[in-house]
Amino acid sequence: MKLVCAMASVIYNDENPRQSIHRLRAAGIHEIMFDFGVFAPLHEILTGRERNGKKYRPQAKRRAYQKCMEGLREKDFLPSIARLPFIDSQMDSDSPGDREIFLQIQTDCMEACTQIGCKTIIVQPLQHSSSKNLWEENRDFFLALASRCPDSDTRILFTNQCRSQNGHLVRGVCSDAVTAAAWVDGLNREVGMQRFGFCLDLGVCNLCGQDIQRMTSVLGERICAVILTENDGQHMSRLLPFTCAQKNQDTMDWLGAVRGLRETAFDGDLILEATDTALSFSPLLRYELFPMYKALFDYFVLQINMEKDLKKYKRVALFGAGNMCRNYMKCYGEKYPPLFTCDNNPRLWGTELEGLAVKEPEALKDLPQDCGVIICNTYYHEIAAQLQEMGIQNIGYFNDEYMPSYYYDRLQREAEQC
Amino acid sequence: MLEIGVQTKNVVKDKDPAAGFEMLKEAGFTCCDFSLNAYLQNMDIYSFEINNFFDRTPAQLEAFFAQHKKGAQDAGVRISQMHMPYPMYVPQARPEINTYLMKQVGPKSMEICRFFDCSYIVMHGFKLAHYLGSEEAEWQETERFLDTLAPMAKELKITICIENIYNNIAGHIVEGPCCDAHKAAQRIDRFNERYGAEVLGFCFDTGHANLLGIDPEEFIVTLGYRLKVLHIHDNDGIADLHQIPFTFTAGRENTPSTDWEGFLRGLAKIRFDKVLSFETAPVLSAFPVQMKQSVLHFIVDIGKYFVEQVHQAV
Repeated sequence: MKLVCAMASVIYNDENPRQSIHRLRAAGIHEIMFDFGVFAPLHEILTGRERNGKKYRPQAKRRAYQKCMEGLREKDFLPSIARLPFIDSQMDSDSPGDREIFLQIQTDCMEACTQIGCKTIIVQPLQHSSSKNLWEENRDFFLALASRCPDSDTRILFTNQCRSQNGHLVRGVCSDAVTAAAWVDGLNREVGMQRFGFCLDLGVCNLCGQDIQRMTSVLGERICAVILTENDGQHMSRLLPFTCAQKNQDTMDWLGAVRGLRETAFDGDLILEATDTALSFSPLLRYELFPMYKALFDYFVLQINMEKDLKKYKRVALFGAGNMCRNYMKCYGEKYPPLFTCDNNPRLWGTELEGLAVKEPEALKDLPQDCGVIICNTYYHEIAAQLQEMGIQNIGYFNDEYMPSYYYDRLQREAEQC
Repeated sequence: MLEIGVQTKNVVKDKDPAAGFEMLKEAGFTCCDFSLNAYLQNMDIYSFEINNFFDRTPAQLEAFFAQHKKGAQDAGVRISQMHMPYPMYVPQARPEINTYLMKQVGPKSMEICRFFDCSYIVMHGFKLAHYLGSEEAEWQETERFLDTLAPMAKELKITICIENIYNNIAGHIVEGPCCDAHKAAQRIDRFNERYGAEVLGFCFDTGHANLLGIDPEEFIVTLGYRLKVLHIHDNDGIADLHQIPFTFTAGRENTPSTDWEGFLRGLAKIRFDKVLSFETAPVLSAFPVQMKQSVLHFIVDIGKYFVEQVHQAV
């Protein structure tokens, strides 16, 4: 999984990104998503044209993003993923003139992506006011863009959108997973290779209250990138995950998101977009968010890869003989049965938990080479250090915050009684 | 032919049901949605406080509702649909409660539906995806419950209608059971094929769809003939307010933030010919009692406008 920060969330001076790059590297973040919308904001360009008759000057825009690209190149921080400018979902722009400028900007930016060797390009699908020929229009648009990018290894991803119903954001183009999947497949058929994919914007899913787990299961491997962001379910803001809380509880369906991405074994680009959170902080504090971004990445990688990590080992033993061990047995006990579990508490040695023998940690030293030790205890760092000291290399982590299912055996029992 | 109906809740009272039905008639309704759920309220079920209303035998229930039936008949108001109490399964409840809901409340609701000569009863799917791990597993449990009622539905010629409902995550409304029209259509067809009768149909709730940003036209067209019943009401896109259509705006232009045009286009496209039923009981408790009749008239006026629009578009 590639871990990427959206540009506006981390680069606060486009002309001189050095400080951001330095701080990103220090935090352990090594990739950003270049965002052409920062330099060619379609909302401003189109409304400026409509209201003040402002002429669009493509040269000035090109100079701006090329200068930023130079700054990134100097620091050896050129991105491999970019997003072309998006039209604001609240904006109603469907005049032929607008469409012409939109297409010109997309084409320009596409060429710039090619120049810097971007391998993944995220594009907004066209949103026509009438749904007639929406697929045909988009097909032609995407194929035209692809023809501007001669490198057949470059993936073009389109995203799920919302639209404005007189100010209320509702499901827009490609928010229906079945349709989106058909579009990806249709485009790939047209070009005879896997050139197109999907970028799942979790923020848009959240705005429309969508079942993210169901959406990911329909789209499956077509999901090449995920935008990790949060909002209040009403406004299109880009907030740091877990910050939109009420009464000590987050309002976003992270359970569905994690379950879905885990089930589909997501391994694409994970793009953290928290621009509104970052820019609402004082410039003196913004860089302090970077270690938090890194921690969030690590957390989501742990959650998404939970089962994938278990598959790495031929056999496993557990560390921890408490509730988390019990939950491991509930979730994965049958699929990945442990040899035994162990615990630092001597009083538990020699007992059994969920049919597993509880041993002292020393017993782990006798495990075969291909066996992994899965920590089932929130003291991950401490236990990992203990295991490393014992010379154990194959260390994995189990966490029960987002379980594939919760205790519900009663339902089965009741079914049998009826 | 399209008819106009409304919930009986907040209009028809047990003390004098005839008076309530007379009010509906006077306002211009020809149909109503009998609020059976008012007799075992959802808040009570969720707090495991099950009253003894459904302890009555079918004969006792018929006696209880005899005046309601007569009042509706005398007023010429047809009970065209009704709402089963909900939820019909509470994950945290004692098994006896869920057994009671399944074995007493469900079948007796069907009996009452038959007694009223009503063809459609709305039921909420079980909310279990959180526990079971997927929407598919959740549906299996709903289907298992439906299986207990389906033979009765077939015999009584009643269609049980599943409804698009929602879940709540710390105040944020998200998709709940039956919000995928494609899946709902497939499941309804499969279920009916199994029973060789139209025992399962769909109730489209405009308010719930609006909360979830669902495109009503697309949803209705996907359901097609499987759509039997409507719950028409409006909200601000944030909370399930059950208000009168066209109440809410979200932009400076003050145009409706709910896609009523799409809803009507959808109905026209599938040539919907049943009841435009308004689920707007909270409006009647919000307005002063003295204005109740005027409010009911106004709802009928909106219904008439909808009928006109659907007919024009067909």
